Amino acid sequence: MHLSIPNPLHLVDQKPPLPFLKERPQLDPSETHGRPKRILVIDDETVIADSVVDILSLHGWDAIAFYNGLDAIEFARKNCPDIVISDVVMPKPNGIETVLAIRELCHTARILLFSGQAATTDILRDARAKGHQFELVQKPIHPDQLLKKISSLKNS
Amino acid sequence: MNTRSQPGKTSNGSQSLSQRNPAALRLLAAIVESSDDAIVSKDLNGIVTSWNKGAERVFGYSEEEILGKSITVIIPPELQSEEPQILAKIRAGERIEHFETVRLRKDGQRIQISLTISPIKDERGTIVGAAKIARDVTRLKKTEEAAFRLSAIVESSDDAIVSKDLNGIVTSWNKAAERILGYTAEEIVGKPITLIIPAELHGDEPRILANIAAGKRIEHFQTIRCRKNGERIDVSLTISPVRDQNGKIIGAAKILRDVTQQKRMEAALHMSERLASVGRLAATVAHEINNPLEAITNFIYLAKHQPGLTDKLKRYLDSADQELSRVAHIAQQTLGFYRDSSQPESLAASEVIDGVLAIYDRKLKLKKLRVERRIEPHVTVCTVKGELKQILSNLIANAIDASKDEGVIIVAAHRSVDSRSHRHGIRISIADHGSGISEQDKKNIFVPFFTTKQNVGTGLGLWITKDLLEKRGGHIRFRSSNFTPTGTVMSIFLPSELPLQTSEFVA
Repeated sequence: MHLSIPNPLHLVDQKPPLPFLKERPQLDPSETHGRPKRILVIDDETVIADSVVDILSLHGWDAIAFYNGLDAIEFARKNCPDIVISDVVMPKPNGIETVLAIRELCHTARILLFSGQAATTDILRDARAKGHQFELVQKPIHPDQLLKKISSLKNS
Repeated sequence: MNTRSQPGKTSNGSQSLSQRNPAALRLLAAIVESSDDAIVSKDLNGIVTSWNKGAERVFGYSEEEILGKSITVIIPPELQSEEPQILAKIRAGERIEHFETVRLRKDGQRIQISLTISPIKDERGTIVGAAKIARDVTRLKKTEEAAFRLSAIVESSDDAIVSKDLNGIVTSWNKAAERILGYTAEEIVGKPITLIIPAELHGDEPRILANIAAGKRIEHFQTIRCRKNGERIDVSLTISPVRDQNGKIIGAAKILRDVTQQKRMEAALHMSERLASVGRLAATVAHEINNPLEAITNFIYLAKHQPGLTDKLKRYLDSADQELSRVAHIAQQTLGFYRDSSQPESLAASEVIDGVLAIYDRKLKLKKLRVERRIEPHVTVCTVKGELKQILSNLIANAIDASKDEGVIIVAAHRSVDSRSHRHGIRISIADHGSGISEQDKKNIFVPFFTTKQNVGTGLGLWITKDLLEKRGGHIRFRSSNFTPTGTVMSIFLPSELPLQTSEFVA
């Protein structure tokens, strides 16, 4: 069924590359394939969402920040992302609920959760009880590692 | 049988006296009648010939009932053979003194008596019968037995039980007192009790004695006493007045319990509670700082990637990045794998061990360390993978840090049965020939934030290791020497089956 959903990526305008990106020493492999892949970054801590988006953009990803789950789901309804990075512990809907909703809309989207809070354990346990397995990384994660992780997601 | 031979002379004197003086005779009769002891006489056939009031009281038979009867009526069936023996001795002119035996009362009750039996002679000195004095010692025996039982209880008590007089002089000292306080009874009985009171507490003794003299009891008085070797011990004292038969206070009995161990356990419990709360606090703080840490890490990264950075600024940012990763490391160590919410699974020990060794490959090569694997094939362990990895990586990292260049680290794993709980499981040992742990440090290695690696250690590794193991029903033990040959063996045990209740740690 998910095959019938048109991939909307090529319809979206690419962001013009940041001026300093020309001097970037290493290029992300995603760029070499013509167009950047879209990543939604969801975190109610706006500085984290924004800074992660900036880092990803630096490496040529088409990253967009969201500060709550509803906005992200709404966006995904129209533009399916390739990858979703979401915080777990957020006000309603929490990270799990958000990524589940997005996965319903976009079956091919890869999901990565990141969290720095103990409450994660409970939320994840509930999700696992319902049969959902997610990859989780711990905050703080160094940008180098986050980029590596995302690359592995994309390629898996 | 206590017998004494007195041939010929015993009653000559009294007989001649009574013959000469009827008043003296009446006096003797009155004495016999008023005696508390049973005084009876019998002939050489054992037939009762006289029976005083005391005998009526002791044996229950009246004079009329028993005169002319055989004395054997008051002898229990199994002791009937005593009578011929007694009569034989009497005929031979022997006296029997303080012979303790059992007799029957008229009501069938058995009583313990002490007998003294003497031959009776006629004017010509011929033995014609026996006089016997019987004392009922049943009550005395009972009292003796009770006293014996009491002293046995006192002797077998785990608490020290001692007594002293009103001058504070020790009058008795049981076995436990010897054990707890180190003085033997011989050494201390007759000496002042102040021997066991620390000098600065000597002022207590007059107050204790004053209370005792006033008939007051002192209960569960927590204080300190000195052992013979000078060691101080925490004790709980209960002191009661001792009274004589007339109710007069003549001294004090004190029960002293060594609560040093109890105090230590209380202190240990207090400590572990404190540590638990420190752990919870650390976990909470770590959680709270993770988000800001993530943001700062990101901003530094972004700043470092700005074009046109001066070298100086770039160095500052690199340093900031390094320092930040230290903070992140501490935060992660504190919580780290508590957050791993995976379920326990059956894992191949060799796989997990090799995985961890691979992580440290670079470090091992850097120090040219050789790893000797002694892993029993097909050994599995049921636990959470992340936890076991954390445990092993803590232990292996420590072994690497302690080792000198070109050393050997031995990693062994085999099936095992825990000697304490008798559970089956796996034992993994990691041994190094490194610097070893000093005696002083041995006490502290599992205490959070204790570290000997001033610049790189968080002091959380072994604490977390121990906690993770105990959570899964396992444990950690170690042997270490910092004298040649130096080295440390850390040995962990994990049961192959999970404990009945597995509690998840949630901060």
